[in-house]
Amino acid sequence: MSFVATEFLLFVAIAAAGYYLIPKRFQWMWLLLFSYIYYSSSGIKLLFFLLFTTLTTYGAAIWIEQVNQQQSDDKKKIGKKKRNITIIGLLLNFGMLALLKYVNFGIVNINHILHTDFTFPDFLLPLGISFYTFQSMGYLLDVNWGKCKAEHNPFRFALFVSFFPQLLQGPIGRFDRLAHQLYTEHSFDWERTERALQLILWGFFKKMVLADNAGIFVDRIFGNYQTYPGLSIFAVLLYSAQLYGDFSGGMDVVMGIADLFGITMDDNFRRPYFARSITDFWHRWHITLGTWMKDYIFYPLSLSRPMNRFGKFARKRFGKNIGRTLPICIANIVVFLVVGIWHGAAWKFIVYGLYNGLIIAFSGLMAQNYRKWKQALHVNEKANSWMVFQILRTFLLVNISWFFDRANSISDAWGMMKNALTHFNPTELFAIPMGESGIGFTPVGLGIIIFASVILFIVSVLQERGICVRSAIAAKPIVIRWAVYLFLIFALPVLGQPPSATGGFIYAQF
Amino acid sequence: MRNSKKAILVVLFLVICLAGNSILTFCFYPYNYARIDMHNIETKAYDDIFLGSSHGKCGINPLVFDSITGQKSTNLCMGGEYMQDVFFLAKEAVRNHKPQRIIYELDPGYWVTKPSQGMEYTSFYQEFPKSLVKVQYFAEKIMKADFRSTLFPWYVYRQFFFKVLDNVKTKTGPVYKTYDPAPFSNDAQSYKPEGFIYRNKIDAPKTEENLMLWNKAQLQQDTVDYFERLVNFCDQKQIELVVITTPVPTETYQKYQRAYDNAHDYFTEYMKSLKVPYYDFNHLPLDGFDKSLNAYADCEGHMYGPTAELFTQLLAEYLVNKRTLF
Repeated sequence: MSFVATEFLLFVAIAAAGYYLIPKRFQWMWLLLFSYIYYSSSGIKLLFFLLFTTLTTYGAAIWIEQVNQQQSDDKKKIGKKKRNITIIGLLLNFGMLALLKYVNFGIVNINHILHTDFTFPDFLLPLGISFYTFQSMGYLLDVNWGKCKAEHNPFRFALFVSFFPQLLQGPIGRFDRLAHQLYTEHSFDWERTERALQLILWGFFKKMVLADNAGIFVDRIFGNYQTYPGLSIFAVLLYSAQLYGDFSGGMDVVMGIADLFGITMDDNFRRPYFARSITDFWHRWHITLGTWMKDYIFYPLSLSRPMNRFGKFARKRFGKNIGRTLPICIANIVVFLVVGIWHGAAWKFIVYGLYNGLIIAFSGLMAQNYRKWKQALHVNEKANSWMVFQILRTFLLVNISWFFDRANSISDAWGMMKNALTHFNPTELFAIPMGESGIGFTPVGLGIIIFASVILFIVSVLQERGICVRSAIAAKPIVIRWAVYLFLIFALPVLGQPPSATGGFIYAQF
Repeated sequence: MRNSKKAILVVLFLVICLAGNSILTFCFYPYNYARIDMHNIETKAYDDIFLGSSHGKCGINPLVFDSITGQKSTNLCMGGEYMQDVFFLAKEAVRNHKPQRIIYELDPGYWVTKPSQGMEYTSFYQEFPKSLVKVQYFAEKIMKADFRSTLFPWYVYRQFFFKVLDNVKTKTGPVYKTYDPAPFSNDAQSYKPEGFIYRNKIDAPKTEENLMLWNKAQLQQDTVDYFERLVNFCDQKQIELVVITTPVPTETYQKYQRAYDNAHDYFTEYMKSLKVPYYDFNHLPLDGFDKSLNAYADCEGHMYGPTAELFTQLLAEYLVNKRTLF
């Protein structure tokens, strides 16, 4: 059930209305029921995978807790047992994810290298498997580390794994912040509902007006980059707009829907294109994936015993500074390698991840030199010009990574980057037809992208200055408020592209 | 603010939205021939009903057909009419007046592609009168569409703002009220009685840009399911179901012979398994019929008016002979 389908809006409306009409103690059960209806709407067979993750994670967490409660003086033994249970849980779930998502990729590569002809069934990838697997495994690790207690009610836990707004494209929730909200009783709140609807509307605006219009150009140019050699720069800039509009728009819709049920999800975006470094970018872009990686891969890896030993060795070999930084750099590269693999089973995603990891690692190694150079050049770090320079530099680096993320292959990405440096011909944009059957007028399409980008930019600047735009609108007189809402509502059909000309949400494919 | 006041404001806001949307629908959503086609089945009784794609719309003239069969038929085919639409149109037609026979014009391309949510997507639905069939049609098709297709039926026409005045004039004038087909006539084609589109010979390039070729790997299960529902429905209602495929130009057939032959083999076997008579006129002899591109408006298989009328005559004779044989 697509987020943009009429049936989904109806589904949400019924779910929300019923949620506040039934006795409050049944609210979480109601959510569970609707979450499972939602998931099974895309195929009843897919429920098996969701149930597999739910039951194995639930069982492993309960088992860990039982081991924890055992009366034993041998803490080492208990720790080892807990670790083994956690590893079993992780292997089962990440194994399932790997089996469904990555085995074919592995086999294709083995066949290519060894000239063999192995085959493996092409499984249908269950919706949202990357998101709910990561969310569940985060919970399992938290239980193992004692950060949260195991949930004893399997149905409540099932709700944590399957809460329908976030199931398809995140955000990746944390048990300690999300679960209690799911189980708490909520009363209907007009203001909250208005804010939630505002967010949903804003999300659809970003998706349908900005992302879908940009997507037409992006699909055409990335799909035929040799036909449009002069448009590589435009293609990647438009992809920046498309991806941000699509993913953050989708998140706004998700968070708005969750808000309708009185549930606040973790932020997944914080004006990422205002980031001043790649590290900062990843603190603002897909935040829940970034923090997941930080908490469950980066810290455990960088604080692990082998890494400690390596750090000691590196300090002796390369000196204090590099020796201290090197283990962190390696942990960062590993983290971003995993981020790349998470994005999909293709070499281009691995390159995309490594590119980000290497930049962050390099920045870490060079940090001391940068400080020296800035002092020598008398750079005023508080000056606006320096801030703008940093933002533009980061935006450029991010855009280079988008070539790998969006191009059909690594060689296409290289080809487009080469074209970006050697060819420039904006007039080729007008050769791309807009709309259903290409009957739309291209300059209008480009105008809409610029218009939507300007609106998004203004809103982002205001938010960056700490102004809550939604609250500001809500505080305005009713005429202004309604004018804004009517504009947003009618902008979707007037300025948006029809679904046949575009696709669904990009991150719903993960 | 008290809750009752807030509720009133919400209702008022919705009323404003609805009013605005209704005005835009009135202004942008054009008068189209689906309205006449639907009006026909609501008000007249037919023995034969043609359902299918634009190939059927431009290829079958019910008046010519009736002159051979001595019965009464109408053409409800339309570009973008997928199996789901065919099924609900059949149900709606039967709800009004049960026909003796439904003739489904099968374009194999429609079985291997998904419908585009463009202008034709909701055309028939919009013209359906209020009934349980319409509710079912909504639940099974329209509800799954992008919410803008459902809530803002005018939005696929938004770029035709220059036609707003014409639309308003037409909808407020006698043409709309009397189901006059005059607005659908132009240099390229005209709408004839009982839903036939007569294509004129004009000097336009003959393209194949909308050609959808058969590829079994892309067979859409939804389409298969709806066809089987149609077969069961006809069985239950004791309506004869006949499936035909109109001929494409020889040039197109030769260019994509493998796809057409594979489609022929697949549907011959499939229809046999369902005991539904299937006549593929790419493979059946049509004496005196010019299958060259000269007789067609494009490479996809949309016939010129005279070609279509000759084809209809041959089709009618063929079906009469088949009936006599059994």
